[in-house]
Amino acid sequence: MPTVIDLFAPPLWTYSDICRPIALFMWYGSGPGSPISAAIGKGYVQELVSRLTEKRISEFDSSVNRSLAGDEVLFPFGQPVYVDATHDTVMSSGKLSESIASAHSAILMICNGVSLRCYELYEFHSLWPLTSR
Amino acid sequence: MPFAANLVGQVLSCPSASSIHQTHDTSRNNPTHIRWILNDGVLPLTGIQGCEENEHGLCEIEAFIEGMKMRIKEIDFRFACFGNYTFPDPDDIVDGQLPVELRRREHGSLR
Repeated sequence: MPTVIDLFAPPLWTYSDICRPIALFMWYGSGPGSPISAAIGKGYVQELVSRLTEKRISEFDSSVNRSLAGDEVLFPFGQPVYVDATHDTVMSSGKLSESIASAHSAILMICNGVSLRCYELYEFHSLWPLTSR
Repeated sequence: MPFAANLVGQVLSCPSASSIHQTHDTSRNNPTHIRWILNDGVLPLTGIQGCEENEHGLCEIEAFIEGMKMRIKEIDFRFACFGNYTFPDPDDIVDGQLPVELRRREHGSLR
């Protein structure tokens, strides 16, 4: 009977078997290769800027929830720590939640198709296939 | 869960690393830099306009915010999510958006 350790033994998790399809899925589904991933992550970036500048979002032209982001109780400023989390079942099914797409979008902003080559990004996407915070 | 990834954004106050925005206000820790740590490694921010190469992944906070504001302006959420367009084949998109010339063709105009 395999132990948990066996389950994650290297032969079952080779790049070509698991990581490459995931990387391709991530890249074209919700990564830089998708025509909508930047848009999906836009709201996260707006909220990030809102927190950093401590200014309320004024343009609601993305996925930002006005009721939440516009409320000083539900979306407070001046906190030492902010935590955003994704839904792990969504992650584990290999699909991308809005938040992880946002995280990808953060990478997108960071990379913007300029500073990193594709295969390096593939590696990034292999880094967070299942659950992400 | 295996492979739990952590993306941590750190807003830091490190005046010694700040060559431009030196502050004399020592009464409070004014943020000077931001960096992003994915799992155990810092992410390079050099793709953001205004962020210079830094081995510790640091970008000056004001430059980062300006870069983000620019990025927000670049992304047309309405078109991406509600526009009627065809995915390019081959798909050589690298920035998460339909290429500008295709957007223009399908959209009529860009905002």
